[in-house]
Amino acid sequence: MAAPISVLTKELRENPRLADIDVYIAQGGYKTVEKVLKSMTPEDIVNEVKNSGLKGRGGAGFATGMKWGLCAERFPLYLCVNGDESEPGSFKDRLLLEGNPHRVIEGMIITCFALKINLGYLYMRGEFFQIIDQMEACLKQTKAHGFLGKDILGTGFDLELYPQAGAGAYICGEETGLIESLEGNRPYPRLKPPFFPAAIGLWGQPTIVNNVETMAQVERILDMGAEAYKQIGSADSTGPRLFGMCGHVKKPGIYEYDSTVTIRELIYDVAGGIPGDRKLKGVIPGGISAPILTPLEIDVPAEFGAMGKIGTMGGTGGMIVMDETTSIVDALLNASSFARHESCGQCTPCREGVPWMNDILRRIKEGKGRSEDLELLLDICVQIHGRTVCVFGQAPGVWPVRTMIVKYWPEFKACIDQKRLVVLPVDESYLKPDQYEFVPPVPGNFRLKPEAVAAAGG
Amino acid sequence: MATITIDDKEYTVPDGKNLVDAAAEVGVDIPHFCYHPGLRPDGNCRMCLAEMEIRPGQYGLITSCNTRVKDGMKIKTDTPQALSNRKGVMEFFLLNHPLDCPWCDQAGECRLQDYSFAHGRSESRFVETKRVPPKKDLGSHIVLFTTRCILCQRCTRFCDDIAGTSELGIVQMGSKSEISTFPGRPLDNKMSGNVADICPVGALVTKDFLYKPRIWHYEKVDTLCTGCSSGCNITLEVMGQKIYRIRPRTNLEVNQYWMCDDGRFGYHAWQDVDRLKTPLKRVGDKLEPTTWPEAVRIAVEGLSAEGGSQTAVAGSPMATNEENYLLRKLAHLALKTSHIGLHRKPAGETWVSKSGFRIEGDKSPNARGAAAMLGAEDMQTVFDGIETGTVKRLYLLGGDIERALSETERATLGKLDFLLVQDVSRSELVALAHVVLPGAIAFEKNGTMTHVGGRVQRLAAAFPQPGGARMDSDIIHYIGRQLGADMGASDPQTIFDEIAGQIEGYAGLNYETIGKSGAMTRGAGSSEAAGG
Repeated sequence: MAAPISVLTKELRENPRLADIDVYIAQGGYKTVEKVLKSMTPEDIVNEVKNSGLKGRGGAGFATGMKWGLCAERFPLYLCVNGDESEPGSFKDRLLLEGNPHRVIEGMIITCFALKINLGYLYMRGEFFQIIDQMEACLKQTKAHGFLGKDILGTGFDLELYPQAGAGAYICGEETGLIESLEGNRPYPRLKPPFFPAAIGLWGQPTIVNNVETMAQVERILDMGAEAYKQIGSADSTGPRLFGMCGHVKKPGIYEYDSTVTIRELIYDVAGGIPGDRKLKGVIPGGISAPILTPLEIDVPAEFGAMGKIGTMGGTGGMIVMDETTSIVDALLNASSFARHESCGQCTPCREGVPWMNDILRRIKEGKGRSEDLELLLDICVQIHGRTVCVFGQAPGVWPVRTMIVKYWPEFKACIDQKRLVVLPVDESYLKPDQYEFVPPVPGNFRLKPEAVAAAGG
Repeated sequence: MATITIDDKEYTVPDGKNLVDAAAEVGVDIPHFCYHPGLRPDGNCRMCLAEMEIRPGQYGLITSCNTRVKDGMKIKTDTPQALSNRKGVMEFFLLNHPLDCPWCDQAGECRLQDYSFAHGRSESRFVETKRVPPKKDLGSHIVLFTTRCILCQRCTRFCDDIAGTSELGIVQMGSKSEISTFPGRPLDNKMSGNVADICPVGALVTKDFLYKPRIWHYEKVDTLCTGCSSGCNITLEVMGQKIYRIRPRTNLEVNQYWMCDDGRFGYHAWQDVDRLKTPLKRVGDKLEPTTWPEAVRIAVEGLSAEGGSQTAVAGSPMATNEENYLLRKLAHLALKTSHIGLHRKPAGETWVSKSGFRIEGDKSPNARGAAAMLGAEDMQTVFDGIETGTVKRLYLLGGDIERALSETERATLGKLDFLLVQDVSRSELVALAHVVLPGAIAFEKNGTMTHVGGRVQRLAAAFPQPGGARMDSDIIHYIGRQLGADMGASDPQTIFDEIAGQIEGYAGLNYETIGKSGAMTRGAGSSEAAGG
């Protein structure tokens, strides 16, 4: 069993007043910025981050150093930090923004210095009222202490950082949606190509969009050094991870572990198991978009790579645990209702297909399912997947539907056959891993094996 | 040029051209809704997805409307992925569509209909409840049938980027998204009618064309808008003696894809005006109807008095090049007078849209051409002649239902011994005339006009003149012959060939080279009209 670590959350747990810059500095804060700005070149920093193996913590797990390396050197460049944390089941960025805002700011300063950026934005979801107010105050303190503004610490480096509140749309977490929103437009994601932020981003300039937690990780890497950082976790997924445990667990919360911890350990050891010691029905391992795992699939380490191999994803690390009392049909309807509500409506497949699937699922839950509905749902998934402007059509739109229907086929069938919402005994509710297959590389691309359909009575 | 492969066939197309347009140019239709060549690509409808070779032998979906062709590019539009996508997109579009084709104005020219036949399913798999958002009145000219809207955003992009007025936007999000105006800010820009043209479905329709006969009943006539000197290319949709709709005709050199609302809806004024259907002669204070032989007799007598040398002619910026040219010919050959003028219309202010579309302040369509044909810029020398007594008689072309006379003009014209006016309605000019000959409006005549920038374009008659009215070139030709001159040919095409030989800047041009999209006169580009 992996031991808890305390790289990102140590100060945060020890001191509730870190948003006060004096407290933060007394704890050793802003030393990293000082060290980096005074003794390192931008290239050193980029190399250090590349060497650290850091994977972005926004959900896709894209290597941060590589992302930075892709950015065109067409100045000015901009930094947008994505704090639009809206993925159901995810609350790690909120913890950092609320509990240790200056570490995020430090990470931003370092990132901007490394990429020769003089203007950065911290975009936070609109519902974070207090956090946004606090962040504004924090940035003022940081500037007053000379870590922002003109000629920072006498190094000649200028930087301004601005907080920006979203207006409550999930799509603003899509990087180009975020950029549109920052520019004051409807947050319709942009077409890629040509609008890859690293080439044409905010105000048409190359832009780096990184997650809040990634910024905090950058600060940690530059503080401890890439070599030491790499010792945490595995070669695939270096550094500390924040796992948000929620749903049917005894001790919900954010836990810091490295990626070698398994999902089973996170549920049963870290989060204390399931209330009433009921049986596990499934776990969504990284925010609602991450394809669900059945109880037979939870002995996998929480690494980005290992999770990807079995058709799910590390995602945001926010895990939604569901016990045997849960109706998967209802759970999927819930997830689908979220996708319907948050589809931006720009492109056809997501705007029309996602609500259609939601209607069908509601009908199934209400006992009016038809025998052809499950095949229809899977076919609608095909019609959306990979054909939308942005990945959100498929992430919260398709992946949960496809995965839950395939893996929990018996329970869906039972609902339709019995014309009511049925919660099967947990062991009968899902298929065995050899009854369906994952077709890589895109997460959630599960297909039933025909004999499994027959075996399940379908 | 770039050589590209589409569906295993090689084509040579302009390098960097938009893939949808490039494919269309070589006869390959890539279905699309949201893309319009006059608007920036948006890629939201997802209908145009095709597959492109990314690595040798490996293809992946791309948004065609957002792709520019490059040499060596390999495209497949008929792969299982691409076909399944079209079928899927069509199904999605029709989920909430009311399928009210039987009473939809777009029926017959609707992309949803066409693509549904080509790419859709014959049966719906949708058994849920359709959403039924209410119809909206967007502005003076436009209604939105919200249920039919596919949210392609052509209209919002038009208002943002072409008109530059941004009245339209989207409210709500996801499946509740609707096109809307802002509260208290209706869609009332000068080009609003275009949104109905570019709407690929029956969502945006003009109030003017609402519930009119189905589109396949009309005869289409390609001609010019004569509402100002911009010379927008248009297509009239006509049944019998009546225009039902006017839409812009694409001409990238002139109006691109657009026209203004004044031109689009302005036909009513011309169609509804009380037209002159017989010649008129002055009897005391009044003008009374008369016969053509009688009117021509009075005209010839009046014009040729004292040998005609004290007679002036004045062309019209509303008339074609051919008509103005014939009038000058009449002056030279029949009257042997050098008193030639051009009765211009005072110009207002020019309006320019964000994209550069111009509504010219000069509301006459052919001032530049008329000046070249007549060799006269204005009425100055004619009016001077009237004041000094060297001009006593005048043959004046009118043709403008809105032309008001200034006090000076009225006073000067009032001093004439004889005034022949050729016009279409009881204008202020007609009120001063001794004899009036009923001419034709732009929708009733053939000929050419030269737009403000010097481009000669063809006008085509959509229907005959009403009653006893006649084509102006025929009238001038006839009067000239009655005055004893050899006027040559009377048909506009032959007259134009003569113009090409006579008028500077028009050499080498003929109706064929002018074609449907016009041709530049030489020396055009300078503000001075070519002299004659």
